[in-house]
Amino acid sequence: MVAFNTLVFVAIAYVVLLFGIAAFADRRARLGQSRWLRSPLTYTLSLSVYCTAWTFYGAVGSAARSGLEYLTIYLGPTLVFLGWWWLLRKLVRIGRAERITSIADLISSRYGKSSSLAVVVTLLAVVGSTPYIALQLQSVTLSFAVFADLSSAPGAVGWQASDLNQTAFFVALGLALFTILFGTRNLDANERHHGVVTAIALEAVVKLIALLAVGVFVVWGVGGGISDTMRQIEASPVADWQPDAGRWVGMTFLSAAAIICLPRMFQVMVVENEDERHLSIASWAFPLYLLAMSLFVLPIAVVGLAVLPEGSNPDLFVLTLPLALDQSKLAVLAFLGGFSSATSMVIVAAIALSTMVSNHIVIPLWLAMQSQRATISGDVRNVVILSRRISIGAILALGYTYYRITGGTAALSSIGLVSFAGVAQILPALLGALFWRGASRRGAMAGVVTGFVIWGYTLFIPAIGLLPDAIVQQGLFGLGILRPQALFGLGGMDPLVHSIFWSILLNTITFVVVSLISFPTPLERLQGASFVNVFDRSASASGWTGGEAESEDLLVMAQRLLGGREAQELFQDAARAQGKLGYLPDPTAEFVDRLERELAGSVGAATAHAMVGQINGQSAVSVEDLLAVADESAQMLEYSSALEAKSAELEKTALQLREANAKLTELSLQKDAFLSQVSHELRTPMTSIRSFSEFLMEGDLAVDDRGRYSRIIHDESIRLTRLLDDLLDLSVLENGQVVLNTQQAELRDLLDRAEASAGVNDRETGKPRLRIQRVRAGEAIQLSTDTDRLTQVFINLISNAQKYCVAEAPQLTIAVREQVDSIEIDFIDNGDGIPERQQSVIFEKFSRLSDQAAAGSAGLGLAISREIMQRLGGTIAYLPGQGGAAFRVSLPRVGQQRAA
Amino acid sequence: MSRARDVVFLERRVYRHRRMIDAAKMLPILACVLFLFPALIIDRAPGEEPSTAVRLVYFFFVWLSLIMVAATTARALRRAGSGEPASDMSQPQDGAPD
Repeated sequence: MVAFNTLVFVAIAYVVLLFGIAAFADRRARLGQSRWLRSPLTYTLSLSVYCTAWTFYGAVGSAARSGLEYLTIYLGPTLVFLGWWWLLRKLVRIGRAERITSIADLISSRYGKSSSLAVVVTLLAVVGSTPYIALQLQSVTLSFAVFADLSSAPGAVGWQASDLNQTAFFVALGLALFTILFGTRNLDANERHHGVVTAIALEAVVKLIALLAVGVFVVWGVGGGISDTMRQIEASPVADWQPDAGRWVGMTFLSAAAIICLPRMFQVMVVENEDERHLSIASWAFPLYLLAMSLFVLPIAVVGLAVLPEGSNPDLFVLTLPLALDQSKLAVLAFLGGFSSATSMVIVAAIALSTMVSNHIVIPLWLAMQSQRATISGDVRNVVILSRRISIGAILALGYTYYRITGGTAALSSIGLVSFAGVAQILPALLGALFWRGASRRGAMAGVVTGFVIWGYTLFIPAIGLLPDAIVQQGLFGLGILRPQALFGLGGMDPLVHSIFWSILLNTITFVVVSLISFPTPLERLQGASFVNVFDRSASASGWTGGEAESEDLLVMAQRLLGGREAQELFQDAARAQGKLGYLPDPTAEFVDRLERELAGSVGAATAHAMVGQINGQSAVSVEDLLAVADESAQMLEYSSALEAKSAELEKTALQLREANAKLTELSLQKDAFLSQVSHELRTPMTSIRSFSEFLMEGDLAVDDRGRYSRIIHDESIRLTRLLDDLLDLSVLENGQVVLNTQQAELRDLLDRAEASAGVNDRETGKPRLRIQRVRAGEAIQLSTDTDRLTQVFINLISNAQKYCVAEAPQLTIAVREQVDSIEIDFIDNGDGIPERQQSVIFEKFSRLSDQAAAGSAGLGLAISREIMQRLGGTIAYLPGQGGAAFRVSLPRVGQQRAA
Repeated sequence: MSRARDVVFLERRVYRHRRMIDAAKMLPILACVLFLFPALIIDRAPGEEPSTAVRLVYFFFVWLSLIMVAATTARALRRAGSGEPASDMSQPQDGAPD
């Protein structure tokens, strides 16, 4: 049996240990040796302030009364953490970027740094948290009472109410002391409370070990193993429990909302967060912690119901079960677990609430009371710290008073849920703040107030028994539809689910509707954009425009809030960034913005904004400023796009010039090449004419020699004449000086004429050297064109085939095809064809593929043909892939008719 | 050559990162279904409802499985995103070849 004094001694020793750990951690952090303090493990463990004495003791009570329903309190947070990528990630990022100090600060900062909204959220948080703090005091005193009752002499009267009250008082006092000592050591909420967080992490371990130890003892020590315990569960009254869908969903939602909105959770999750990466570990590690915390709850409840006498308080089974089974050491451990749960919750809640109360209520009031401008009086830091300390004291006093008034009558768990439902009213405004740019301050205010009022009327006031029975039964003013537990006639629901349903529904509707119809201020819109788009913001919009603040005034103010050294460092740093020496940077919008954010870390966004505004002389940004900025940037955009257009135009002109130049250069080269070709072509026949005429001049020649020489001279002159004719022809065609002599003719006749003139028959044998295949029936097409010129093209193509076709039995196929708007005449021989790389040059002047059969040809034929076809409005092209060389002549169909 | 392989590697990593983000986003929806579903089935004949012990086993089994999946996802996310939980917009420049 544990003597009560021993227990008190153990408790005090444990408290001393906590103080020691906190002091040690704080010192380590100051020396910069706090690596393990900043580990994800510490972060995850500190999140366990969610598990209060209510979870530690009350979960077993809940399991004894209503089966697995206690699980919902853990499943909600599990859902939120598993979904960290959606919400918590953004929350933490914003908290760090905007130097948020509390949930009230977040809401206020997002909705235009509104101080009224901050006050409302603070009040809501205080009202919601006070019963919860009272609950923790109650659980600690009750657990003390359990030991006191056991250790007092049999038959003697146990603890009196006054003893309980005294214990509660001392516990509250001790907690206030601890919180003040370690929770207000430094002002900047972003300089984390390492001492507190470390102590809380330790307490998290203690409560986990305590609950697991009791659970292991119950399952293996009493229950006889897992399967036996399972059988016991099946046999117990708990086995008949069936979930109530409404309560199950409602409570899961409630606990999910609570872990986001509870001020103490916000404190450890966002404000005390060292590193965003810790969140990804906590996303699974914290659910694991919750799982471990709830693993043995049902077995403890079942065994407690079986072992302990009827009428025992199931809320204290964790403690009374080991005591009843004579496991006093285990009982002491369980006591420490419960003690840890209660104290860690109270400490963090007190820090979070005091920050809110101090930043949003006390400091603004104090500033308003200062008659002269805030620049003159002394160090504000002391005032802020003092106000926080007083707030901590006041909050704990409030909790204690609440405990005294209600006398601990309400069942442990019900007040916990009431509290959850209260803070859940912040949820719509919070989600709107993070995801909806259209959410406005008026909407948030209206929604939160609506939810707050409905929650108070339907749940909070009835729960603490302050609502007269008449109203509960008949409704306010005797109106049936205003009955607090059957609002608008929706009766028959669980009161908790009923209250959550109506308060959250009306809260959300009011929030959305008022947001839709109200128009936000410019600052709200700036803040809204930077919150909702926190992940892709490159440069946050500045909330300040060229004010008239003197840097010196700002420095004086900053020194009083941040402390001399820190403020000077900040200013010096900013001055250096602007390229200035000394301590006074230019009060640019950017700098004032940064300064305000730094100050917000100490006193909250709304107060910091008000203080900077006081010095800056002008209340932040106006619509006109925003419009001016937008206008300016629009002009710049316009100018730059005009420049771009001009530069594109220049580039285009330059490109055209370059192309023209290249063309000219090429033409000049072609002309040179043409001249040298012509000279060469003229020179060859001239040379032979000269030499043979010299032979003739020498006289004494045989008759047949003379005849032969004369013939050569004659042939060469003819060739020369033809060449000159061709050149002349080409020149006329190229210059467009040719006059077309349009006549009517049939294509067949033209081809016949061309075949005859090309001289395909060998002069000596009379046999054709080139066989020509034609389908004469298809050639009966009436043409209206310059028939002589067209025939010239045909002759050219036929004689080319005759000259260059190297097949043993040369053959030329002439195929005529009528298309919709043209007539195609293909000349295909059975020779080797023309290699691909030369196909592009054959229509150039003097292009001969080889000299093998060049006799009588100057290489001008195809060039002339191309010019002719152009004049006639048609084309001539090489047709690849036909087996041999193939040319396609196509004529436009205009004016042509098929011969009858 | 090695440059080309680097690019392929990079694409894969960004792709993996995106899919891990998808997984992280889907997980709470799955959890919602698994946690709320059993409570919503109510029209069972009396006496045929699962017992409390069976429900207990079900919940802890589902819970633990989800935690394990979440741990795997979080790990993969940290690796793929080289530690920095990047926003959807900034991922491409995030994964510079190393």
